[in-house]
Order: sequence, then structure tokens, then C-alpha cells
Amino acid sequence: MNPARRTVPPIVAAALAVAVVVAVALGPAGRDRSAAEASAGSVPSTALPPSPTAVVTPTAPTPDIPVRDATAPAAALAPAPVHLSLPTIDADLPVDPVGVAQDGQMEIPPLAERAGWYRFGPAPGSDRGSAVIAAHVDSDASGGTGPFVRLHELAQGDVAQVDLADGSTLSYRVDQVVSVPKTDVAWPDVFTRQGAPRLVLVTCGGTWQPAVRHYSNNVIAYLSPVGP
Amino acid sequence: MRTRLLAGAVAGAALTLSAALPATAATDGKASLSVLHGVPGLTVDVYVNGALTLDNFAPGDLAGPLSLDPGTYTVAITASDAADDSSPAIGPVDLPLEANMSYTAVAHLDADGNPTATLFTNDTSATPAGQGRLTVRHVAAAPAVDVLAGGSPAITNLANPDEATLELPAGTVSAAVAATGTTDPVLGPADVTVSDGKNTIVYAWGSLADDNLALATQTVDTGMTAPGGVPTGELGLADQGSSTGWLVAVAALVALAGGGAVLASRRRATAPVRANR
Repeated sequence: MNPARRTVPPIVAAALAVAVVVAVALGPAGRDRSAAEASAGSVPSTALPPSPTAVVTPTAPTPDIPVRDATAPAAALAPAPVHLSLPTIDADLPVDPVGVAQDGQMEIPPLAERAGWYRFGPAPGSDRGSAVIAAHVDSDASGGTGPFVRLHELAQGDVAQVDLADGSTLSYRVDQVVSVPKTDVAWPDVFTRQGAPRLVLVTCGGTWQPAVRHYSNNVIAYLSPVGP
Repeated sequence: MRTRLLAGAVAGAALTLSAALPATAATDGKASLSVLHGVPGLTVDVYVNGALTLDNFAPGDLAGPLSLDPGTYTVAITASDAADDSSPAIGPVDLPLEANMSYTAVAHLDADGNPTATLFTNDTSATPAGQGRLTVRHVAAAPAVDVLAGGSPAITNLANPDEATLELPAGTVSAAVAATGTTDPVLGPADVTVSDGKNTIVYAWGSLADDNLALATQTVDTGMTAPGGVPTGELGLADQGSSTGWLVAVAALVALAGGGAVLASRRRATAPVRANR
């Protein structure tokens, strides 16, 4: 942007206003300006001339345009979760990376004593979106129930810990535990890549439905990261 | 005036926020634009609608993504020491940007080695669960190429400035570029990450004659497909239902005892019995 611009012939003002909008968006790397600072109203001292359009933008320092070296090797993948601990319900489970089963549902480790992390979605520790970890409430392979049989007992504020493959540990707190009929679960929301980072734990619950050989509900616990 | 300036400040803040977010599937009524510099040996300034917007933009650099109002933007690229955009090295070119679309504008060489610019539209449609998208763009001063994945041609006869797109299982692909009809790489092999819910875009840029062919990589978020469900129960031991639920289970056992259960029911009904022992 041209910092010297103070007066501009009105005829070009409209074009400039558009240009400035772009410049604000595209502007050269300036100081790191957070949205809070910007919206707090650091009204610029240098005023643009009146514009026939509704678009008037400040000539204050422009936001950063992220620029990176596109020839650099891809960033390393985030470390996978390897263990989940839910001390308030005495649950400790190794965590395996899992994908999608042939029927399009999430793949679940056969043993109810092991949990599966949906490896196509965010990992715990990602800066946005939901990391989903699920385990059988009971399974043929285990011949009984697993630790997630008590998932519905989690209460708001309960702590969870996730160990990652790099040896680090992340802590979470339970925000909410719900039991939702399977037919009503909005899976795109549960598996979302957007929004605040969270950990989502899933198992089955409700009533057993012999005719279809699955439970009526999914028990879903939503957790938020605990700051360092 | 003050009100309008404040409005402008808020608009600026909104743009700041948008610019801070990675390129998304762009469903907010805005256009998402990234800019790639693929002309070797030439540090440039980029002017948009006459305003200097990228200063000292270096070869191989990728700027953005930026969230912009839909519309047509005029881009001129000059040498980095130019005072203004009156004598651009590339352009000016008009970029028509539509709402809810993702674009990458690439300054690059044409097949004969002349600087040019191309606006690509990035495919952000949803990938199937467990799969990702790989787009390859030929923006190098070189003849048509084949793209080898794992050593075999996956894309053939790709010419400057064309692109080709593959949908692949999420994972790592060893990709290389060879002259069409050959399998001897002129570029690569390089490991390329293909991710569920992302379009990984690989650019072959530079000049074959000048021996500076290179790869550049960009990732754009696409829509994603969630698993259709989470089937996490097989036995019925954890029935949390009302007493009715237990009555149903007892009824099933009674039915089994009476020999009236069908095969599927028997398998279910025997599980609790086994587990209860």
C-alpha cells in the first residue's frame, strides 16, 4: 500500500477503495495484528477521501498475508494417539489408528479393551476440528463388555488424558456426554474438521435391538483441551 | 466519516480473520485465492487493482489463501524494484473470482519459457471417506509430461498449462514427472501426502532447458465425508434401557429356550448367557 496517499481525485476514489480492500486482504506482511486489536478500533489517523461506494477501509497496517515456501518438504504428520485414560471411570485403553469399514462406517478395533482413533480426521493436538476415538461397549472378540461401558458415567469436568506416539500427553476435560439415537446422530458434525479442537469419544448405548443386532443409541462424550 | 472508518476497520478485521484461516471449502459467499510464484530467478512485486499487495515475492513462494469478495481483480506482476505497475513483467491479467470457489493464480513460464500467468480453479468438492484428491499442474517450460505414481504412469500427456486430478486412498504417494511416454524421471520422485478432505496440488515449474525444474505443493481443504456410523456394540450386555429392555432380553432367552428362535436371534441370545457364566 502507498502510505503517502492522502488526497485522491474523487473519480479514482472508488477504484482505490476496491484496491484498498484487496490491499488490506493481500497487503504486504506487516505487524502481526490480531483480530482483537483490529476490532478494538485502532481507527487509522489517515483518512481516505469520501468514496461513492460503501467500502471504506483503513490505511492502518495491513494484515499479514501468509507466505510460505511451497517447495519445502511437506510437514510431518501429527503424532497419533496411542493411549487413552479416563480415571474417573477407571478406563485405560490402548488406541489404534483405524479407518473406514467396507460398509462405510467407522472401523472399530474388535476387542472392546482397545479403542480406535479415526486416522482420516484430526489427531488429538490438532489446532482445529474433532479427534474421534471410539471403542466397543461390548464385543464378540472380547466376550463381554469393555471399559467404555462406563462412558455414559463421565461427568462434566472429568479429566481425560491422551498419550501420543511422540511421548507427549494431552489433557482434556469433559464438556458434555449425550446419548443419541443412531438415526439422529449428525456424523458430519461429530467428525468435523472445523471449529475449536476437541476430543470426541464414542461408544454404543441405549437399548439393545436384537432384530438389527445393534444398540439403539450412540453415547458421545465431547471434551475440550486443557491448556498447558 | 468516523462511522464509515469504523465500518472499514471492522471489515478489515473480518478480512484479517478470514486470511488467518486455511482455505476452506469456501461456503461463506467469498472467493478464496492463493498466489504461487513459479518463475525462476525473478523476485517480483504483485499489484492487485493497482495497489502493491505482495512485496518481494520470491520464486517458489505461495501466498494466501485470502478470502475475497467475488468480483474481477486485475493483477500485474513487476520486477521487485519497480516504482509502480506501469510496466509489468506479467499481465495485467483479470482474475474473475466467483463466490464459494477456491482459486490459485500462478505466475509461471509457458512451454516456450515466456512468463505468463494462469488462474486455476481448485476442486474443493467432498472427498469420499478415507480418500484424498491429488491435482498435478504443469506450469513449467517443458514439453508434455507423464506423472508417475509408484513408478507407473498415473497421468499421461499433461501439457503446460493443464492440470489433471486423481482421487486416491489417503496416504503417501511417490510421485515423479517424466517426459511423455517415458518413465525416466526429470523431476522427483518425491513423497506426496494425500489426505482425506484435502486437495493436494503439485506444481511442476521452472525450465527444462535451464535445468531448474522443481516441484511446489499446495494443499486446499475440500469437503469431507464422515463415516456413516460408529458401530460399537455387538452383544447387548450393556443395555441401558428401561426395564422393558431387560424384559425383551429375557423374552429372547425364553424364546431360545423354547426353541423358537431363528438363527440370528439365537446367536444374539446366546451371547449374554455365555457372558453371564
